Amino acid sequence: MIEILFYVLSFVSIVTGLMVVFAKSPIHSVLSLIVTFFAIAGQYILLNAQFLAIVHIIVYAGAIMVLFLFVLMLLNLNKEAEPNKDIAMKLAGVISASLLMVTLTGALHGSVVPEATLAVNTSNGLVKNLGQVLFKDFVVPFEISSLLFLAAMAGAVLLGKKHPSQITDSEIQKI
Amino acid sequence: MKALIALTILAVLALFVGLLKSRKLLLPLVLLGLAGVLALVMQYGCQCEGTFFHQYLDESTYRNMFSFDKFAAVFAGMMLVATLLISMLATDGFIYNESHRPELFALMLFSLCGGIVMVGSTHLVMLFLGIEILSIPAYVLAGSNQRDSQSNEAALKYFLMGAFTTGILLFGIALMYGGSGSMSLDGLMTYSRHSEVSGMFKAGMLMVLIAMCFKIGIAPFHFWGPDVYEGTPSIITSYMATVVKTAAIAATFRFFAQIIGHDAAWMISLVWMAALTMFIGNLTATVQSGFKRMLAYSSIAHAGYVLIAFFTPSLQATQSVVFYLAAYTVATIACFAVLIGVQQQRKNDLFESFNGLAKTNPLAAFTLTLALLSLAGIPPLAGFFAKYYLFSNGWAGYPWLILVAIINSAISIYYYFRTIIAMWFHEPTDEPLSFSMLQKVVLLLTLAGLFTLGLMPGLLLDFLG
Amino acid sequence: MPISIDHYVYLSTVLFCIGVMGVLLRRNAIVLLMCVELMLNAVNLLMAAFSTHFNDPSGQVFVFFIMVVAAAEVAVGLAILVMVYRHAKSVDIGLFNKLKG
Repeated sequence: MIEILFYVLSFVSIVTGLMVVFAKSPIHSVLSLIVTFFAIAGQYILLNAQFLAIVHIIVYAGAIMVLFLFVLMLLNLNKEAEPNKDIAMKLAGVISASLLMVTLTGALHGSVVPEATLAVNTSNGLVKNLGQVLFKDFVVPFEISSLLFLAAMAGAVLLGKKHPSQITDSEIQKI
Repeated sequence: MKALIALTILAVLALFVGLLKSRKLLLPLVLLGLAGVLALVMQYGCQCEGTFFHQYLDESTYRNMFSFDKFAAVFAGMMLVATLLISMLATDGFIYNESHRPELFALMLFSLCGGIVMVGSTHLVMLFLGIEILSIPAYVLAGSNQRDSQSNEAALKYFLMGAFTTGILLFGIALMYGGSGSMSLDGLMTYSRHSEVSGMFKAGMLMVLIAMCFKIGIAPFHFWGPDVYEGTPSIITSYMATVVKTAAIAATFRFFAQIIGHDAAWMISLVWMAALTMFIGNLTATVQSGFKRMLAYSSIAHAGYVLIAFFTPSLQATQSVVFYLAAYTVATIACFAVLIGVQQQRKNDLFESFNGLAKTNPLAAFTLTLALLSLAGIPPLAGFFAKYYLFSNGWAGYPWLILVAIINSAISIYYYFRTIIAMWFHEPTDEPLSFSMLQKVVLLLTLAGLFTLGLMPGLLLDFLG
Repeated sequence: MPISIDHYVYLSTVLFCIGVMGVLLRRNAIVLLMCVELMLNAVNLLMAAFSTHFNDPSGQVFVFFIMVVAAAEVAVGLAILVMVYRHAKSVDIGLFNKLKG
């Protein structure tokens, strides 16, 4: 049962992943990517990482993809206006990516993953357990990541603000 | 850690000063704050014992996450000095965007925090977060001149490159975790020394190294560098060429030296990359017509020289990395100080714009000349001693690489002298440049730095142990 | 874990390479950014799989940090894109060649 689920989810995620790359319209890419994310969330549940699956849906499908859609709609980019790269470039892209895949799978094939040293704990993926780890071992990175958000926020606001040159002269006189 | 907290508070304060009507407080606040943090770091650095790297399993490392040891203190101090000097240039350099000045300072300080996290990180999570905190504000800073389409383009290129690199870095980290079962430097070291290293770990390490080479700008992963450096406003370019580069090199050095520094199999490809970087950087720099693009290629070449120290991990190698980066930082900031002055009034950075600078602005011309000579490695300046120390330490590892480096230093003299000749032997074509008080102070300080590091290298070396 | 770790390694390698292929193929900067997200998701999946394999929750905690960074990166990236679009009226990276390499 679980194996069948794994293969179905893998198939879905790979096919929709390819659709992200090859879809003509950016909107279709976004929608395929959302399906990919749901398939990956399914994998997390199979992996017994329930909290991660929920957070994944909330953050990726709920926040990040909405941001993408919002920008696409805002800029009205929902047209298939992308000029075609020449075939040689496309072929080069596909070939180099496939080469990377072959090399990576070759390198990873049969390489030994060390056996688990810790005891099996099925509640590892639950909030209580993750919270213990996050606020004990990982408390410094947790605090530091607040810095990242602050910086990203200030940066996004700075770039989003209208530039003074776009304000009319009469407004400047008022200032 | 105290320094990091103080720096964050300073950045937030700078943001709040933006709300005030009067912005006059901003620059003194930033300068004093940076000086204060620098004092804190220096005082801490003096207390540290002789060895650069702490033993990792003690309480001061925050559960194996972050170790503010001597190595971190030295590099943090260096980045603080660089940021201090660059903020002094920023009085006029930010003028294209007067209303955004507090945000720009704040972003620069946030980015600096990321640099400090990077150089002190002893865990892959911290390394990753540090890289991102360093980079994300830098993307914004690259695009901070919103009216200029070149600045926009630079920001977009830098961002796309950076995001792609993040993906590679993370996949590498995941594979390293899968291969060894640990993410802390301590655990990775133990794994890489004591057991049969799996292919997965090696593939992961390789991807992490590639990502770091992207960040530093080592050939063949350097191609984004010159475009981004050229499009970015000069003041930010000086930050990227000094602080960002220093942080990336230092973090790579810490991880490289400790995890795979003992393994010769890794060296070969990196040795070739170092040689390639030097040649590409120096040869392409000779055919540039703009000063800024030439500096961009020269900074790529200098990253290639620094790699030499990676191949003979030892106390001396660490010292030579520190010394070389210090000399490079001081000289680069001097170059950019003059470049910013030239760009403000001549509106371009062609070599012709430097014509006759020796007659119109003797101080600027003198400083720029010495800075370029130092970058080229002419005695008795800082750059000469740095190169000498680096090369003599590296001789034990790969003698032919040192020969390549010496040949490249000779090539570099050619393009550095183009500017020097333009300044001293061509007639001035324009009115003199005017430099603000703070810009002159920066010129004098860098001049002093070049001489001090060159004539009395012992000062820094004694501090390094 | 009923499914062997190898399967997850292969799956995420394939997803990662699809993302890389997208970055190499596409010219629309927004789609490019989506392909980067796909790469990051492959990493997340791999991390979660290793975490379950080792019975070690720190892998899952790392995934949270990747999510944090991805969110911040997308916010800044889309802001840059909107800024670029205001000037060039396009997000086609092929058109950005004022700075010659």
